[in-house]
Amino acid sequence: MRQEFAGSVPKEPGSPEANEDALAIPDGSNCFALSDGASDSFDSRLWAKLLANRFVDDPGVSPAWVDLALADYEAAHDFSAMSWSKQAAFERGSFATLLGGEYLADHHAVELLAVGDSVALLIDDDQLVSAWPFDDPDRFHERPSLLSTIMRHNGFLEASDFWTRHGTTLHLDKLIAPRLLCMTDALGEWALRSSARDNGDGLRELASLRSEGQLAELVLRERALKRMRVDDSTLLVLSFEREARDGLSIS
Amino acid sequence: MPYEAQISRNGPTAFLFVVDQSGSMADKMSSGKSKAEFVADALNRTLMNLVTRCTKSEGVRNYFDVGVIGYNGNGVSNGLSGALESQVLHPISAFEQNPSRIEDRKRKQDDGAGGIVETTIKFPVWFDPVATGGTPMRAALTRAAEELVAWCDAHPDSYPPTILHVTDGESTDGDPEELASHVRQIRTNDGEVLLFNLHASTLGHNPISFPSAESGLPDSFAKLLFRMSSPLPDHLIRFAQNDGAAVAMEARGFTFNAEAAEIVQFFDIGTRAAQLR
Repeated sequence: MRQEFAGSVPKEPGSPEANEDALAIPDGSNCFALSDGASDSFDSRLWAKLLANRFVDDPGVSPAWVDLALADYEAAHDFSAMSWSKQAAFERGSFATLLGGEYLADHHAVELLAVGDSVALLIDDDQLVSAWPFDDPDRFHERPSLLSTIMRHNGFLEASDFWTRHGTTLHLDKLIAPRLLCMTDALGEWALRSSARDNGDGLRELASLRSEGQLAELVLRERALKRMRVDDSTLLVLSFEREARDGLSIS
Repeated sequence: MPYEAQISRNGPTAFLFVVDQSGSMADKMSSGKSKAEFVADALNRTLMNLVTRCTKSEGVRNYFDVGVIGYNGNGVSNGLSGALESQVLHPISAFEQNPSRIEDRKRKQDDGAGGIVETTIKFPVWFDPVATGGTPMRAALTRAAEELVAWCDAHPDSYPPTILHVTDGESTDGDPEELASHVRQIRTNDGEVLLFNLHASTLGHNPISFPSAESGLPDSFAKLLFRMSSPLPDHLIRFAQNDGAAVAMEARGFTFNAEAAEIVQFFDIGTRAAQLR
């Protein structure tokens, strides 16, 4: 697994410190994660960062896994020292998506987990192969389940079919040059609409990006044309080459 | 398409609450509280929710300008006091800094082990119940229009302001229908002012929330308030439907014979402007 690109454009270009997306892809790891903190939250920037970092350490998401992330979140805040409005906002909670994956080199496959509306688009030869957790751009206007710092909102984690509903495995062995484009919702909606609208030119443009400046140029251009919602926009592009047993690349 | 402007610190929207404080607002609701007391409670809770939605770990972001106009037998006035009395519309951070008092209220909640535990929460109060005299609705809408013309001039590209008008009786200073239509024509480049009306009637009739036609409404005053109300924009219809409300695509921002739950729902749906940035 190789990182081809990673970058983010904040909703307010002059305020990068307010960007509430988080990306984690440690050197040498087969795990990666992307999390989009909801704007309407107390400290979703921290919550998104904790979720993404915890996933790359341990991709086994469960209620106990979220409890550990929540313990880190609570340790970072002193509730008793907060004003009434911060206490109320803290109790209302922080919310974030989680899109995480693990590359299984032996099987030349990627296991993906998606909670919320951050999406992964698998492309091959610049054509869309599949998307997870959905491929219909209209679904970005639904209100998705998000991971919350308020445990009663995380009931969906307890469901017996949680991994069936939120997880999938992408098999790469029949693909020529597979790339996985992981992105937050504004970029995802634009990419899926582009796939239908302009025969995939948008996907090719995303897959060819080489610098954060190029991503910013694309995002600001499409925002100005009102084809992309104004939101923090983060993109991770990964490529996968199968290693033969003698160490030579075979695809 | 109107009502699509993103709300940001550089492009806030405005919520103006217009509250009937006439003598009949002292009538009791089924809970035993007067209509004026319940509206004051629901309004304070809504203001708290607006502050909370704008509060981040680093402080309050001014996504909203908010004001309260009250009208009663003594005329039309700013419904707020203290530091918020000097002008009608204030950035939301001014509400965070200037509640008239903060009360401790008891709340029962799940203790996570199958029991119920009572906790104390801080409840800020900005608006107190008043119920006296007549119902000068035309004068109140005129004052609201003056405020919002100035606001729209200063914020031409913002999501347009929303008026949330609560009343329980007929206007005592003339027919407000034509004036309401003028108010709804005040606009920013993103659309016309939204005027939503809540009728806290004492008629023995089931509540009706966000109807699509006046034909099912029980009296001429309810029909008048329906005609005075803006159609709900698409995103508010979607929000209400996601919240479990049966709201048709032609629904207007009007609620009749509201009891406690409908007043809270009316304020909640009415203040769900587009996505915050």
